[in-house]
Amino acid sequence: MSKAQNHGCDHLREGVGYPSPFSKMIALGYHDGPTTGLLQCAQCNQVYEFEEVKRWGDEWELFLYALAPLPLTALGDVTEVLAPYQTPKWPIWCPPWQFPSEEARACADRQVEQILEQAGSTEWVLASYDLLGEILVAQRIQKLSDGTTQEIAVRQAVNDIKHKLSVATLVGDRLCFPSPSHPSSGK
Amino acid sequence: MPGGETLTRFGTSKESAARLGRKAAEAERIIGIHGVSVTAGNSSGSSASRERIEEHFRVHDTPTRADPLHRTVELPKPVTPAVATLFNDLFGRS
Repeated sequence: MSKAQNHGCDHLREGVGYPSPFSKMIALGYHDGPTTGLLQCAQCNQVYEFEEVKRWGDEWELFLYALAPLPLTALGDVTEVLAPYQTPKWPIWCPPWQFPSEEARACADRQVEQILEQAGSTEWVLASYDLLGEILVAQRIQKLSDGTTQEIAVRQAVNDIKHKLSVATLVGDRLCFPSPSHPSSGK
Repeated sequence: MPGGETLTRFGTSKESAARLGRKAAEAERIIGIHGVSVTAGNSSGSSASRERIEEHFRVHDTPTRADPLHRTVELPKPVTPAVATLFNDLFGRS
């Protein structure tokens, strides 16, 4: 299958502390929070594959995720594969990976893999406690220049986010970021 | 056989009742069990036998595609400091 060729979500932007544009998620991994799966934008229906790349904070509760675009039909396609075995639950569905037979499991695995194989290159790294709630920091992956691998570009974005988080202050239970015009922001 | 499993929880630091309560509430919303994640697979962190954990807490098999050996340790509501202390002790976190 070909890689996703769509232009990406218009509602994600580089920045800090804004409401998530995403309204639907299938979590294919969970460990004290979703670790991998698919996300869909409420407004443009853009679908991304997401994957945890790092956890941050004293209590490891802030997740950093890499996002790669998928075809707009991908979330529906995965739902269709799994619906005969599990009842979908929205806005977040974490389907138990349990099937009536080993054959059914292998078939579902293969079909989901085929859908995920259509993901394009990683476009974003996001920091969030709740991907359907608030995007704490969003960093677009720079276009790869000669000699820069996808892995290096993602690592660079993670470092940029870690820098932004390190200058944020905790007020109550919210992280507050210095405004761009603040002298300490370095701009 | 499930009774022979070793369960590993991410991290090695003691966890507060508040944190365990937050993560348990999130899991209840997403996977339907008020509990926290562990794995019976190979992972770094702190470990305990499933048998020992089950003397105090119910352990559910909650496989995901990413971790077919994912388990959820069900915690009581609310998660009190005494529950957190017992949980930390079982995983050797002090």
